[in-house]
Amino acid sequence: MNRVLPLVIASIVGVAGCAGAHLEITATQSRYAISMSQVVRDGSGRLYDHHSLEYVGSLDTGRTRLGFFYSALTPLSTFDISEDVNAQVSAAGGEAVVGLTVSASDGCDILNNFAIFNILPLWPGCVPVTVTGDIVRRRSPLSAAASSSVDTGFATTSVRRAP
Amino acid sequence: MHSIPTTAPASHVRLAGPFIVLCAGLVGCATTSMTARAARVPVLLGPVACIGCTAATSPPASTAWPISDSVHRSGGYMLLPYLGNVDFFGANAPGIDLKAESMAPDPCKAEVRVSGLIAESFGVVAFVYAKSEQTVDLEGHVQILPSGTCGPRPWPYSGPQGIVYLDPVPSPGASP
Repeated sequence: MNRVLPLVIASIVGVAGCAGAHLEITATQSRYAISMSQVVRDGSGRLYDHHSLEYVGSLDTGRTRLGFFYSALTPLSTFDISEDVNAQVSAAGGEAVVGLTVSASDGCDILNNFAIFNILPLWPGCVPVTVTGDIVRRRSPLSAAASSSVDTGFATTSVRRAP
Repeated sequence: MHSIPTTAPASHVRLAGPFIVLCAGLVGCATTSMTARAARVPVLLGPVACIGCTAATSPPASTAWPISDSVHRSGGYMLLPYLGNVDFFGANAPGIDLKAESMAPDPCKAEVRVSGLIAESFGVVAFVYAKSEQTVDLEGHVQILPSGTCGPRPWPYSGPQGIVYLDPVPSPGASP
């Protein structure tokens, strides 16, 4: 055992490799409000939740980026979702995006964990990122009152008016 | 000379764990997600802070406190001499909604402005050890909007994590 252990440690150190990538999500040119929660304010500061917002569509976009030098370098490491937000919200006739969710999947594990090859600094890793959300617009006061007892389905929690 | 049967697992059995981990990576179905769907305050990304506004007409906010959160998912295996495979897995859920509410003195007037949102995927293989990790980090500030109001709300109403609140609805004109 005393002879095996140094060999095991040397093997671990000698053949260790890694790979990966990172991606920053921004929305610097967005023309619409984007909220990661289910609520958003209007210009007067009033809070709108799923009772006073109407679901009109889904936002769905994503990118996959390659990284090199053991994940230290990711070319095009910024993903500006503004263009997708502006196009999809406008097409759906919405006014804002709520429930924005940023997801990183393990779809690149085969590259990031490719044994032996990921010892090479130029071996690419990658990160697949998906951005989703609900496109909404303000309800008219009458429809908001009528819908306050109805779960609209895009909220994780539902609230019902007391009898 | 007869060979003595042993109970040690065959090599193909010992490699089953890493093989399963590798196949799971090929499928690519597990995700790590950052969201704040349970928060009662806006968690805003981008220059437009309100619905129907532009970046220029968004109301100014004041009194900012830094806030951050991170979600990650990791998994892998380790081959231990004489012991076999050890698979490990770990994950956590986003907590930005509860953090924002706990830091905001008044949820009706608070909001979070996100200043950094970074997703990362990383893998390491070291002969008898492999680990795969996905992380989404969020950084921002909790800000107070002096003109913020909650507006009318139904009764009872639910807050983060589905907790139902039964406090009375304030009458119109009453101070909060």
